[in-house]
Amino acid sequence: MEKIPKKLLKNDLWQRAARHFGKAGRPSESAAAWLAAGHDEEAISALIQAGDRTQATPLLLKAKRYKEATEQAHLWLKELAQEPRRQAEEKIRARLILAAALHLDHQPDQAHAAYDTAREELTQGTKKSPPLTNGRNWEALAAYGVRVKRPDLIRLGYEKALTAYGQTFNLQRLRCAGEYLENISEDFHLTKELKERLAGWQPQSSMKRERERLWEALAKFTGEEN
Amino acid sequence: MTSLSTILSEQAAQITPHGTPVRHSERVYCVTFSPDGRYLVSGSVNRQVNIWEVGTTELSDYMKGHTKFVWSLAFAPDGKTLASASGDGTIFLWDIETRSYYRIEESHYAISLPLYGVAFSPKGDYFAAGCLDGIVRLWSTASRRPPWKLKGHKNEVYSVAFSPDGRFLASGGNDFTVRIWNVANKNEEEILTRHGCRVTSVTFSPDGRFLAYASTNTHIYIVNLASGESQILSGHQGLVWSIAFSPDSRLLISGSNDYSVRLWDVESGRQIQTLEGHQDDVNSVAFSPDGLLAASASDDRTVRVWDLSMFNERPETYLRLVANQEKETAIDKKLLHFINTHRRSLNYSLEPLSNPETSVKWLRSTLKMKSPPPLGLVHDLGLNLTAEGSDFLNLSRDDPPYHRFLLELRSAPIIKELKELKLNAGEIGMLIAQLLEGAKFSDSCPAPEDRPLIQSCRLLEAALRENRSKTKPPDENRQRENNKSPFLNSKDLDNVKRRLQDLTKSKLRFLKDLYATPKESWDADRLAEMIPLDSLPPTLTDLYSQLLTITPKLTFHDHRGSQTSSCGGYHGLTHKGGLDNLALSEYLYPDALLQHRILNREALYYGREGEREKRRRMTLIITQSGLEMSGTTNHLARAMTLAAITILRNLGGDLRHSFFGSCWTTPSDPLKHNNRQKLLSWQDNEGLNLEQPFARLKEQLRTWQESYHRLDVLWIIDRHFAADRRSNTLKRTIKELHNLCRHRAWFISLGPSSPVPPATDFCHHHKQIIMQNGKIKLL
Repeated sequence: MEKIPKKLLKNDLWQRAARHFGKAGRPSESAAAWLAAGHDEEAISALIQAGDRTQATPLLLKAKRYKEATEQAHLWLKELAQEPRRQAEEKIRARLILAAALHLDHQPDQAHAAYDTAREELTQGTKKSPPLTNGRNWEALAAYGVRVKRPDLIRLGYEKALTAYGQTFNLQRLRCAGEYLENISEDFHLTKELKERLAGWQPQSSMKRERERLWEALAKFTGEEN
Repeated sequence: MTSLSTILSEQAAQITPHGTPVRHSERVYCVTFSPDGRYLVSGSVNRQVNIWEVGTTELSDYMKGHTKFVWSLAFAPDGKTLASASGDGTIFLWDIETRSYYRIEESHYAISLPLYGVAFSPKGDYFAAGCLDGIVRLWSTASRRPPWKLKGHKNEVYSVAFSPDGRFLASGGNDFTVRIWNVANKNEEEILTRHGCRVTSVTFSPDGRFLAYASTNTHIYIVNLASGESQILSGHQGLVWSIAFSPDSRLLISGSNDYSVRLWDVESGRQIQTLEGHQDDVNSVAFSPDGLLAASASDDRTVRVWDLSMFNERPETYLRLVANQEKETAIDKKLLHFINTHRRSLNYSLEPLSNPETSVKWLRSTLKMKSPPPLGLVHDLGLNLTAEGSDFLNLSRDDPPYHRFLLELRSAPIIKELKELKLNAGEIGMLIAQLLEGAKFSDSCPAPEDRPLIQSCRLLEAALRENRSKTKPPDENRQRENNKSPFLNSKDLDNVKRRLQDLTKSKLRFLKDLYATPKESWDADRLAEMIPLDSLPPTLTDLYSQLLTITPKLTFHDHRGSQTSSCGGYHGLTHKGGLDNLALSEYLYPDALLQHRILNREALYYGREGEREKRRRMTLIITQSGLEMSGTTNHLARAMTLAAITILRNLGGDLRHSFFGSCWTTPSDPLKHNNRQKLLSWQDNEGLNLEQPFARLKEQLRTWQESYHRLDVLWIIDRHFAADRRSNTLKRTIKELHNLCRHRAWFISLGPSSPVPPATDFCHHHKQIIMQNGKIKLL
């Protein structure tokens, strides 16, 4: 009997799970399974169905469906307007997604307006918001920089996010650094400086399992073999 | 084969000011030598004609009579009569012996018009002057009848010159033409209009082969009168005020508002040397009759006399040098004579001084150091850095420290790389300069005005003398003496050793690239001085090397395009002034109305005098800092800033630098050591903030605008700098900044060039520096 590669088997299982979740009326789980299986289009449909615009809009941008991304971002902002608690957390990210969608859809004036509002809110929000929210928002700015090809915003966003995460949120900091490294691979000197910084970070978590994961991640980024 | 101009150029490297500058109380507009070479005469804003004996700096005498500035001076060939043309509309013919004068006045519309250039014919039978009304006036010396009026120019005539045979008179002025007049029939013979710019100075070569004229487009034109061909001498960074041929017609000297005096080889058209020292516009230049000295008069209130004595034996030198091309030509014969005299005494070196020419070449590259090292030390270092093999190396404990140090040099790992790179003598010298940076040598024989080469030899001589004077000391004293290095103290010895250990191949390559950059627009020695190897970030040497290669392509050359008056340019019209700067349009009024306008302060004047008080130039370099500038962009910006500083410091004027990021740092003088260190180390850990720094910058520029004639801002920024400026306040501020001064930008970007141009709406000019795949290119 021919041996089936593990990866194919895994994909097949994820797809089956996604379909089952879909039939069972659980679109969130279905979307997660589609994503795990690497089927973005189906995942987008499921996410929209589930109303999860936080994940749906970036995927729409990735799929170059800018008009739909704009619509979803507008809907997202409308929803946020009715939920003050979520609004504080997500409004900046929603605006930046909207700005990117409009920019890529060649609507510069509206894109600038959305971006300016987001930057203004980001600057104001930095003073009030908790560090984790701040970090996420600055990461969103960096992601916007990646989408519209603004290296200055990539550098600013990730640097600010790393500062916001500080030493308290080690996992977030490492994940953010990993994404930063991916997006600046052309910049030799910055990559080198960032790797040097990463090598200097000492994980401080008291939880054994978390600490091990941190060290693994660190070794991955700095290219060291354990 | 070395060209003649190269030989001249290398000789000219030794040109030094002859004595100290002759100080005046006011700006000096003209200078000339008497035909016997005994006197130097200058005319200045203080309305008097000053007489100096050549070789002294004390005022010999002065002659008063003019009521306005003295614009031009000319000696009659007999040397007894001096003509001076003034802004008061008169020409005075001075008797140099009795100091008496004969006053010639030309009236026009009842107002005396300023006279600018004056010249005597070679036989002394005529003299001519250019006037504000565009008419060249020609007087007969003998008859002293009213002048012939040579009409043709449509605007002011700034300069006149007779041909050596006295048959022709050339005139140039504000109507963009040079006109040649026949002196016999007073007719216009020819008009030269090829240059399309105002002509500030005209002159014939003494051998009659060339006509040269300088123009406000920074070029000097030399017309071969036989063939009609012309060549353009380019090099000045500002308009050229004055030119003069050497008596043998081989050299031409020029003075410009870029504060420099330049020496040109007439045959090849090559610039031989830039003579630096003036701190303001150079208004007039002249050669002494024997060609050994040149004088330059400047707005910095000095007249400088330049020693060109190395051209004294020029014909013989040419023959000797051309016949023996293999030998290096740039070596000062006095220096070689000195070395040859002391060759046997050089007992410090491990090797005999068998090849003094090479040692001198090494030494030449070290002369930019604050205290030039002794020749013996340079010889020792150079010889041991380039020594073949180290097989004989056998150090003993009894060796004196200096000898041990020299032997250890040969075993340094970098020596092998040095040989692979095949550095030439100049590059080796530069390396020596870097190794000795900061070392202090004896100042027992201070000679600030002396040539550094000679001073270096004197240091060696002093060391030798000290050594010879010592009688044989007892054994314990001998040990103490042995521990003392003849040239370097133990701390400096350690520094040299450490630097040699730290030297890497990439740093050597950097030095090599540095030395190879074109010298015309780049002073490699000064840059090496600015970026000592110690402070150069080790990973960035390749980056810097590339920048050095591309930077000379950048230019700061710029013209404002405004009208320029004969005395330095004006910016707008004013209701205040004298008759010599009355606007030309005023002369269109009838006499009575003009008088009425003047008396009632309605007349317009060129606003030159107000501007003259603020002649100097200020350039502010702004480097973007902050989190947007991390990584390579940041390094590139810093390196470009260093490059810009090096270029701009050569242009004269004041220079300031500041960072623009989350805040705007107070402008500092980047030529100071501490500030240079800050330039490399300054960190800004916040993002870009536009409004407050722009507002502060605007305030600063407004302050400077009151005291500087010319204000430039050079931005070294990311290509997305200020891409997010959309608030109305910010837009207004940027517009105001745009109007305050000239802004130029160098935009830095990584990766492939984008078709979208950078945001440049606040810049007059911009260039893009793009780094892709580790290579830097310029767009």
